Amino acid sequence: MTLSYYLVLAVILFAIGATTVLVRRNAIIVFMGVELMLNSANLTFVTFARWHGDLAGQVLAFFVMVVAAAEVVVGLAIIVSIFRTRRSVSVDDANLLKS
Amino acid sequence: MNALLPAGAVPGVAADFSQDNGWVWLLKAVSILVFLLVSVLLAIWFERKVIARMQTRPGPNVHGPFGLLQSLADAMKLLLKEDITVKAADKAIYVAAPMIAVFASLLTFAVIPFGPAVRLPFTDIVTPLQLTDLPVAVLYVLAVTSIGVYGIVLGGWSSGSTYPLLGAVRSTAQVISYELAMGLSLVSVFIVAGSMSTSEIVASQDRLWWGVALFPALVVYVTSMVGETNRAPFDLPEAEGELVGGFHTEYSSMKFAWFFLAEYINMINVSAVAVTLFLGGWRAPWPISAINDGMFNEGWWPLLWFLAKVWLLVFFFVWLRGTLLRLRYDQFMTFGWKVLIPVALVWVVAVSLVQGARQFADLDLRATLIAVGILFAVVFLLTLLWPGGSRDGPPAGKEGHPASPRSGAKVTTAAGTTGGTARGGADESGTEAFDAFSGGFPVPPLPGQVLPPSPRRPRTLAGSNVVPGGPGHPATSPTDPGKGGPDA
Amino acid sequence: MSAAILASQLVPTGLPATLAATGTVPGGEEVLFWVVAPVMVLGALGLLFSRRAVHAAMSVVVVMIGMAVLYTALEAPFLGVAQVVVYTGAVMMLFLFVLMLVGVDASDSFVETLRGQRWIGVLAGGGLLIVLIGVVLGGSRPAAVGLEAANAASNPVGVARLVFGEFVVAFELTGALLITAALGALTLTHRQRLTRKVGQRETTEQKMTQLGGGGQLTPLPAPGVYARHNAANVPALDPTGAPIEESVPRVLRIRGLEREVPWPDVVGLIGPGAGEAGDLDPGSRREEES
Repeated sequence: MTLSYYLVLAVILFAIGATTVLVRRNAIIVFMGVELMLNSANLTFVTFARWHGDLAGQVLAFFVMVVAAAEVVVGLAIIVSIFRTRRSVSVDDANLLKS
Repeated sequence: MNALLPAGAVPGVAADFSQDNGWVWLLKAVSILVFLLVSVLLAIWFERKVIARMQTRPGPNVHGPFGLLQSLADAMKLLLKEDITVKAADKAIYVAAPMIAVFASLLTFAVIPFGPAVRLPFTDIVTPLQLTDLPVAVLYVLAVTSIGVYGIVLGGWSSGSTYPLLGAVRSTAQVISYELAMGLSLVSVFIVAGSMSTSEIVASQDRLWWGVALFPALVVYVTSMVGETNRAPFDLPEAEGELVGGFHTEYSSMKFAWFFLAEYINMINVSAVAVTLFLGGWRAPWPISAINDGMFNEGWWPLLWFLAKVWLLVFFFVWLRGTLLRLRYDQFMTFGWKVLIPVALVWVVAVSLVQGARQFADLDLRATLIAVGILFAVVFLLTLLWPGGSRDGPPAGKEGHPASPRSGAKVTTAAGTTGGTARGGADESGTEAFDAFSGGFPVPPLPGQVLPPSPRRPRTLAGSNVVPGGPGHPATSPTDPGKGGPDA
Repeated sequence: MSAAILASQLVPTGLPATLAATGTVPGGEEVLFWVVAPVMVLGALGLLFSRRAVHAAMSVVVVMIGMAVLYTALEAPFLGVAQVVVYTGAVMMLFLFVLMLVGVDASDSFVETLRGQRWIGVLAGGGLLIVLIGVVLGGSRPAAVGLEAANAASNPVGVARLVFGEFVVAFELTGALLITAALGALTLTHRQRLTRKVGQRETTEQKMTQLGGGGQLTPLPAPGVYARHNAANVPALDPTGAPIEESVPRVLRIRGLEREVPWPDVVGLIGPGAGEAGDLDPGSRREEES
């Protein structure tokens, strides 16, 4: 088994994450799909770090983690404030300009 | 497989596991499991007994010598009780939650060193008294702790009931906040020890325990570990006075027992981490460690010191529970975010400054520490001499409420108003007139107010003079009416 | 291939075995991969298909933990642990927290506002999968090197040297980003307090002032719990045998769910003795005793 199996796994996870973002309507689940995509990108980074014998890939994965954490904080805050005004977390209900 | 690697092949880890084979790992893993389960049974008995002593009652003393078998009997009772699954529960998660809690709690001890390398009896194998070690062992402990919280959160949610859900929400917020402070306090140990591996950290404490050198970090860690294990006074997720049983309200029988087990194992876990990181791990305490060129730091002796320190911390947990009241939830969060985390942050910055000065500026450590000490002393003196200490006045933040009867007291008393408002006054003088029957109802005095002398006091006094030990309250001193009674 | 070999590669050292010269992974890691990878894919599918948001979140947690195991196998133990601490411990916990805050039982609506969007989405996802797998399996692939040399001074040290050396500017920038995000979250969820906060002290003081006018200092009496009826909608009885109305929770009273004490014989049992001394309420009796 070579390291490319890890890449295939990452691709599968990325595709599932992308499909989740496209298909699901609950904003929180959509968000989790984004997280899944970021994670699979991280798996690719780490795999290539081992492939090339260079730790820079791991460092980049580390940065992706930090950025993802920041993104989650802001995103969930937006979801909560939308929920407060519309009592819903469905992305369909956020398309109205007037409440 | 591992024997192919040369000794000390793992970078960043002090312990040498090169002689371990499959049987040794199995033996160690099983011993850890047995140790944890027996410790839990003992800890439950210990807690009940110590709490009982603190409350001047005997505690469990019927089953077995000193009541030692009481927790075994309780465990059997829990096993044989009816296992109820609530109708509104989310079945899969409801069953999985206690398991998550227990499994995660069992994982921590994999990286805790019980002692240095010893020769196993009847073999030639020399192996450290530790299942495994990683270059990131302490982070691993934090990681499995954070998985364990899922047990509580999911258990509370899946019960499909209000009180458990509230307990779960509280637990989420509590753990997120207190894990920050906990991680920050551990960072200062990483900085001075130069490693995150438990065996390295113990090895780095051969001259000075980090609990002494980094005392503020120890205080922050001990505080947040109580919050992390949901123990009194931070047991908000299962506050029985407010939330029935918190997250485990709807659990019964074995599933409840698993939560119970997880709580006690977690207590031992955090104690073991505190011992390893701050209290010298398996090293003997100072006067003993100096005996005979450190003979008590070798062989199987360290196991004794390690266990003694862990049980000392468990005693500390019980002591806290027997002494302190549960915090109100908002006070608890305020404490975490506005006191613990800033203190931990400032401490980490200070430690890294000192460490940086040592490593990069080539400064003498002693000179640096003396300079820091002088700085602290100056700051301390300044705070003491700071004018206008607010300690004597009313608590800060209450002045801004004009509607509060507290600050409106002066106005009302000046106007000579009687009735309810007059009671609100808590003047600086503290001798304000106090109407004990305001509006026709007997009311207790507010802080700062003094009860008028009781019209019956001379009579009591006379009675106690005549018949000491007679009926009534003869022991009550006339000058000190607050004392006396059954608790004196 | 056995579990013992697997354990030997992961447990004693905490570090995975190194790559073979041909760039293939050792047997133990292969077993680990084939155990963990299907679980992760199942978890990801759970995110896609589960109706309840909490189940989706739990599926993601499974994926995250599997990811951490794979990182450790890929000679990145630091990243593996950081993955669990950051994602499982903080991010997913935050998700669960928000789920509980906004009502976990709100299951997803399956009404499509854009017609056919679901099928287009699934098709796009599948297309993405095929294209990316083509990219991964095509192209030239040199033999893998492995991280043995880079991890010589232990993995956290190696990563730290890069983070604080070559990538220090990026590191500082992410720090600034985190602070900005935290401030942003605070601003977004901040609500101006319109009324003064009523704390414990104010409540107590208010109770004390209202005491004369029929207020109550102590908590309300608990509802009646009798051997025949243990629900909270039956009022407790006072010493004279009369039901105490405020012992039933206010919500039940407002909704009209309150029930009468249905058995006059119980009242009768308590009644006679208490009825004669009925003019004495507990308070006045205490006065008399003292």
